Amino acid sequence: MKRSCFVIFVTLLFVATFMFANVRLVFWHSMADYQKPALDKLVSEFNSTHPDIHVVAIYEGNYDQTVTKLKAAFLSKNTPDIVQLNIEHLRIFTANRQLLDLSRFISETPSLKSDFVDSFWKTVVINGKPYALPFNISCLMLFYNKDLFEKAGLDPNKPPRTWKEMEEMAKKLTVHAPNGRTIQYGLFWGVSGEDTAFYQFEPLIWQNGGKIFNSSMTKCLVDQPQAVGALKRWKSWFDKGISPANMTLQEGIQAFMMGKIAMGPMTSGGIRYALDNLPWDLGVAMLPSHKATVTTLGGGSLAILSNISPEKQEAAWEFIKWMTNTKNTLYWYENTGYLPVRKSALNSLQIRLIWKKFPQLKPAVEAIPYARPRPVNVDIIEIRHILFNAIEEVRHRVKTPEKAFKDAAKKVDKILELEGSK
Amino acid sequence: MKKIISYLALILLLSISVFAVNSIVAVQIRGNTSTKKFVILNLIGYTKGMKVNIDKLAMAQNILMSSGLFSNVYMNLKATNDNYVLIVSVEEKNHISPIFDLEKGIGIRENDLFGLGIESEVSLRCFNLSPFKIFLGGYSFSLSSQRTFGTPFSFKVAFSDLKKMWWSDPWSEFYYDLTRTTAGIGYMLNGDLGFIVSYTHEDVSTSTTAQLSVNAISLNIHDYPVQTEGKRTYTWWNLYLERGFDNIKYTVGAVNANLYHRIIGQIYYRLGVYGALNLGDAPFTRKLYFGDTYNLKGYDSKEFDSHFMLLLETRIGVPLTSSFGISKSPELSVYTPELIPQLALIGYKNITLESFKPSIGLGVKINTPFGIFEPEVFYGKELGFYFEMK
Amino acid sequence: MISKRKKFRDSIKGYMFISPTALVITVFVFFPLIYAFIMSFHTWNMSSAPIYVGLRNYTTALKSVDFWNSMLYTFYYVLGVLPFSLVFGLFFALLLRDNTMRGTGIYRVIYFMPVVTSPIAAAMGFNWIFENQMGIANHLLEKIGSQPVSWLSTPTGILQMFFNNFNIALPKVLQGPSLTMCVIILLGIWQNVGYATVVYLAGLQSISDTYYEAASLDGATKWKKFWHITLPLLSPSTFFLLIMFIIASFQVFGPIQIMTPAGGPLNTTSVIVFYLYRQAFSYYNMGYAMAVAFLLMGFILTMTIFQFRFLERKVNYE
Repeated sequence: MKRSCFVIFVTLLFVATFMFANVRLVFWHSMADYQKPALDKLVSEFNSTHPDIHVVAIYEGNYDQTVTKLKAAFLSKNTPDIVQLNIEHLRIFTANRQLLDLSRFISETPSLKSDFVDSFWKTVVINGKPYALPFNISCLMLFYNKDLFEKAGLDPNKPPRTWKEMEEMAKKLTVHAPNGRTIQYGLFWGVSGEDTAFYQFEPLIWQNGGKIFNSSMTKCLVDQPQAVGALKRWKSWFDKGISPANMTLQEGIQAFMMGKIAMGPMTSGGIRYALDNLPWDLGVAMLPSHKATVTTLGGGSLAILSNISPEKQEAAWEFIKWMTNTKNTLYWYENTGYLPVRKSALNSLQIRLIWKKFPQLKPAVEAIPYARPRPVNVDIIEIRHILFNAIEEVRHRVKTPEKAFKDAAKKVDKILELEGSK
Repeated sequence: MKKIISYLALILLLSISVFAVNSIVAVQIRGNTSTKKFVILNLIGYTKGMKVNIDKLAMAQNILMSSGLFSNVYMNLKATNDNYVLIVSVEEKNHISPIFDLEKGIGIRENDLFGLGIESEVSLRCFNLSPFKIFLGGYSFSLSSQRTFGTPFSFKVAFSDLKKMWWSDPWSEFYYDLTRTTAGIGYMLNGDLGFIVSYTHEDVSTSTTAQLSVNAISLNIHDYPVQTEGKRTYTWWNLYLERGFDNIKYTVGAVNANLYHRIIGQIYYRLGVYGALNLGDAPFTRKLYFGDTYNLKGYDSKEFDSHFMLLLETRIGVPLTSSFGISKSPELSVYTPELIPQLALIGYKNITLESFKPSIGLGVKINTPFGIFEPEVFYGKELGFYFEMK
Repeated sequence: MISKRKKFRDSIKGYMFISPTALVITVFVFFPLIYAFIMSFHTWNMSSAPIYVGLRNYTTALKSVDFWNSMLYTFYYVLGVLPFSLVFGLFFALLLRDNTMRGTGIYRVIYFMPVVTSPIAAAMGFNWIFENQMGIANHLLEKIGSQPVSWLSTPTGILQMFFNNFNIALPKVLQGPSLTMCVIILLGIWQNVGYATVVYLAGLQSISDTYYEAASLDGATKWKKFWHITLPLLSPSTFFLLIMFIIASFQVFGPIQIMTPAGGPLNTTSVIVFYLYRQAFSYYNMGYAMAVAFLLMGFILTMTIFQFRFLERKVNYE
């Protein structure tokens, strides 16, 4: 009797949930521990303000893992409705029309498109059609340890603005023990080799006036003198002893956190994490420039899958529009450091109030005009791993910068050629 | 290049031209379900035609957040002709919370009475912990507000009629009945600093002595940072002075100063200094002790009969997430084990090494939707278990 | 006639008994295996339709430098893990054989602990030990006054490191596993030793005392007893462990993915399964990855057949 009561109760509960929320949407995201509470709060607020829609947010691992899982989900025909995809991965799914073309919705509200920051909007437009809304966009910033700056006699409010200044400061910030061993390094320009491989190196090439690919993405240009020059300069930081030569990126970040490294490039999406966890005073600045002032744009977007019912599409559109509205994009910015995606947000009173509280968040917004999206392509992950291996070969002194980038360009060209033939 | 210049121009335009001279002609409040509009307007400090000033508006936002009424405040400006309309979207907190107190008993607290932002408490004294007993032992209620209707004026009115309270002092243990009336007004000088002056009348009758009638006037100056989010280090303090007049004359005073410092990650230490001074013939109900409970944690309360006491307390906390991982943000912290070493100085005239008494405690702060539960175990002269809820 | 029908009925029963298992194996092993085999002749990125390319995936793999490097690193791993696991396993088994020793049970538990530890947890633990800045390995090195070592980011082979002292550059194949690979090999040994110990213990207990008594009467020394009795009679255990460890070592992946998620310094820990995983789930070259998988399978199969045909002859069954 008791059990049957329970069964009836559970069934009723189910029915009730479905009656109250007539559209149930599954949302896959890649926001791990630190950003997750902020995302969950947004989703739960959406659910409470939209009684007819219920969104279930599920963490599916990092961006690369989400791609794998989504691919597998398509094979087993068990896909979510909304997915957070890295802007660089959109092409993997648009090629087979697996993402919903948002043109129809965009044309319904013309003011929406013009309110998104132009350079962010471009990242979600493929062959003239928008396939997602920019959501968590970040750019690469220079993080520095203000405490160490002060100790070295430098002005903690004057971060380096050029490569030369950075090298000079890094030299002053490098500290040796009496026995000659380096106990503190001025700079670590670590480059990641996994999820977002080669990310931190791209702006160096651009700042040196170089390019990674030609404009039609058919040829890799890292063997050109500008890119090789950037690599040589990067290598010189290790050779001069201002950068630790034998550290993985993870170890470098660890050392930076412990105050053993004074400067390094990090994504703006980590500013709030750093402010909440670092044991010293954090400074954030625009990446130092050389021949040009550039930084890299990265991050994720919200896309709707094309195989869902029109009713669900409407609800999903409502959700992704709501997630990126002015108020929520600012909430997201304040709690993570990912950039606000709306012009109206950049222009708002609230953003100024946020800067009062967290002045370190401001430089990231000021860097927006200089932020360049990463080049993308269907095989971009493999290509980035090749480029990453090339700079690793230089760091470990296996190859000269010229040879490493020449070999890598050859390999990449082969992939691009193969892709063109498909 | 051209694009960058145009961007630059746009940003420059945004940062300079906007908000330069224009004034706010109206305020729209959104999202308030119970709090009245005029309370919020007062909290913002809005005056018609006020100039757009980021510092002032940031302070207004902090005051709204620290009022305890809202969980989120979002401000926006809408241009109308040459002027602005300020749009404030708030998200209200749950206003009702339970009370669990050794003196007052079990009750309920509502911090937004009739939407006026006034805190009211009603509680029924119905249990005693040592020795444990359930009985009906009086009631208490209070009304208070640090910012009455949103203005900088504070007030406090409280009445309690409590029966059969247990007391122990160096000479005797006895039960007493207490009727206490308190009324006070004050003013918030700025976001952080404020004071309140209050008058207290007490009638106490004990099982061993005749009825006492106490009249006292007190001054409380408090300073608590209006915004602590994202700060590594901050301090807060509180000074209390009380003077008894009429038939029982005495002076008591207490000071409480704290420093919070985040070491690394969410791991922190908190340094607290508490001092209390009792001069004259202060009746036992008005004497100042440490902490919220009558017992000093980990010490024998009978030791504290001197006129002067000082306590140094350090709390080292390691916030953990719900799955007992190291927490990376305040939102993720659910359990916070704390190690609490204390050192007390008791004595007035001849201070020797004996006067310094250490005690050590272990506690866990547990974040729940109703508030923070904080069970603690202390070991000093005797082992004691304490339970607090904030 | 009747007997034939009875035989048929009996076999029906048998088939019915094995059918659940057979079904499960077919669905979860044979079907994917066949599907993967077919796919290894296609290019397929999991999204668009597969395109038939014949043997191209296999030829590309066999011509690819990265493939052969991965094979080489896999061999390093196998050759590093195998002998040490066996030798240490035997050593501990001999120590723990004595049942009269106090606390044998506890020691057995201790030695078996790494086997039941999750490989992921173990890898994270090792990561922590060999971390550059805060790892205890470097901390200890600094305590004894020597330079800290970049355990997880040194791509130079350890043999080459030794020969660097004499300014001799070895060919790639002889340079040996990189220091990072050695750390992973150490983890592999640490996890295998317990298993080997238990298997050897079982083997030791099945050796009859009569052999030793007979040998004692003949005046054999301890060493001779070990060499002429214990070792030959343990050969079935050794053979079993050899096959198990070779197969498992060729398929090592978990610790590598955890300790060096980017494939280690200059990809020197990118063993064949890691390479395969990257091709399949990072680059979505499914067809190619499956071709590599079948090459690996062929390799392991050949190795195992070889072991059975040539090594089993040397095994002494009691």
